[in-house]
Amino acid sequence: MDDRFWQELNAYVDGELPPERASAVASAIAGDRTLARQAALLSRAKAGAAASVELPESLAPGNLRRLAAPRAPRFARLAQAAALACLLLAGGLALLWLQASGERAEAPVVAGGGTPAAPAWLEAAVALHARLDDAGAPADALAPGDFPGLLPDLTSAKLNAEPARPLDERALGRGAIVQYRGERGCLVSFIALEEADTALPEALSRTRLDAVLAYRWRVGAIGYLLLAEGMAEARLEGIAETVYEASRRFRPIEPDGRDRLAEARRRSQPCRA
Amino acid sequence: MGEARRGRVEGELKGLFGYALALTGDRTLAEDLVQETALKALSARRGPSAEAAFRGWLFRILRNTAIDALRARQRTTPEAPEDIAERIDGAQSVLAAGEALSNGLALRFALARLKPAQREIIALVDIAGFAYAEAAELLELPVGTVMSRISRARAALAQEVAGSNVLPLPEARAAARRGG
Repeated sequence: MDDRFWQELNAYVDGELPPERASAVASAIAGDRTLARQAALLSRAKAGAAASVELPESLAPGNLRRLAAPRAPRFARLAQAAALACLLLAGGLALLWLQASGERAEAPVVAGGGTPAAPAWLEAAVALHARLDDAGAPADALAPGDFPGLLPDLTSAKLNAEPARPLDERALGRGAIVQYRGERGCLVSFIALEEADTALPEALSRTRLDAVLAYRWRVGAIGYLLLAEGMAEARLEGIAETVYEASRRFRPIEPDGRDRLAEARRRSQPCRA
Repeated sequence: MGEARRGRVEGELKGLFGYALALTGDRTLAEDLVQETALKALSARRGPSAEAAFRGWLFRILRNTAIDALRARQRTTPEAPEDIAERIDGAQSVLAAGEALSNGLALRFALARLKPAQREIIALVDIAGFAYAEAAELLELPVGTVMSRISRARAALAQEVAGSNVLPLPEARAAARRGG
């Protein structure tokens, strides 16, 4: 492989190529198993490097509070007034966002209308979602660094990750799955596939099967799938959009994303499943 | 304002520590650098409000603090010339390294053996999640240079992992049984 294509393959895995070059690399990967393997290994190295950093105890977020307090602002009252205005504005925006999310959730979820047969990947994912719910602690739990893609922290949405498990299903492919459990009966499954079908669109797309709503997308060689049953649609859509954005940058969810998740959770009903 | 900024700093701690570790190769020094960076950021009168600008500002504080600290200790700074790696066949190295590329221990050892500028770009893009444009701005380099630098750094990383004797535990046990 020449140096130029090696650079492009790296940029593809990082989601940094312009659309036409990304399509060209995706086509090349689709027709070459070795290339697909190289792209998958690059993605794993990327995930592994991020997970290899162990934060010392002194830098755990709560411990940062022991550091000196910030210098008192000169115009404290002005700042407080500005903060209040920002809070009101953020509240208004959050309301608008939730409303917009709700409107988008009402849109038809399967093109063409009617009741088309569910795709095999969706049936497999739904079956896995239900099966693992009752499976107990896995014997083959993966270390965080072994998760093939971004492993998002959803604690701000009050969803706690259970141990990730390896996954190898014919209808889905090879990768890993992690389930997030809430305190009000919610269960979200999140799947990362190592060598995603390059036909899988990069944009976030949504599909429904009965009470299960599933979102999927692709970042470079990694395919992602997020699904839940009986969760408030606006809330799940907010989670999917936030995780989608984080996965595209391959970095933890930003503070404003965490705030949105927390707000959506506060406004939502408990899960029905 | 203070609490909001504190929350934003806390959200970047892991990336900052990974970056400090890449710059210094020393956990204790990295820890001190992150503490100092957090203090500077929290006590600054002003900081950028936009998310990406704030992150860039924070990492720039850390980078400048690290360069000063390393100069004081007369250690190598990451200001290395661009062609930091001999040409390595990254594609072959990645295949040779295989699954070990997701082994945290193997990666940590391999990262420690890379040149500072290679560690730096991996820390920014892979650990801190910088886009190429963001990394380019911080490092004051063209985006194309970031693109070539990250690909060469990953090639070097894969080569180090492939040449490493750090194996995941099940493989190590199997190798031991085979007498390897």
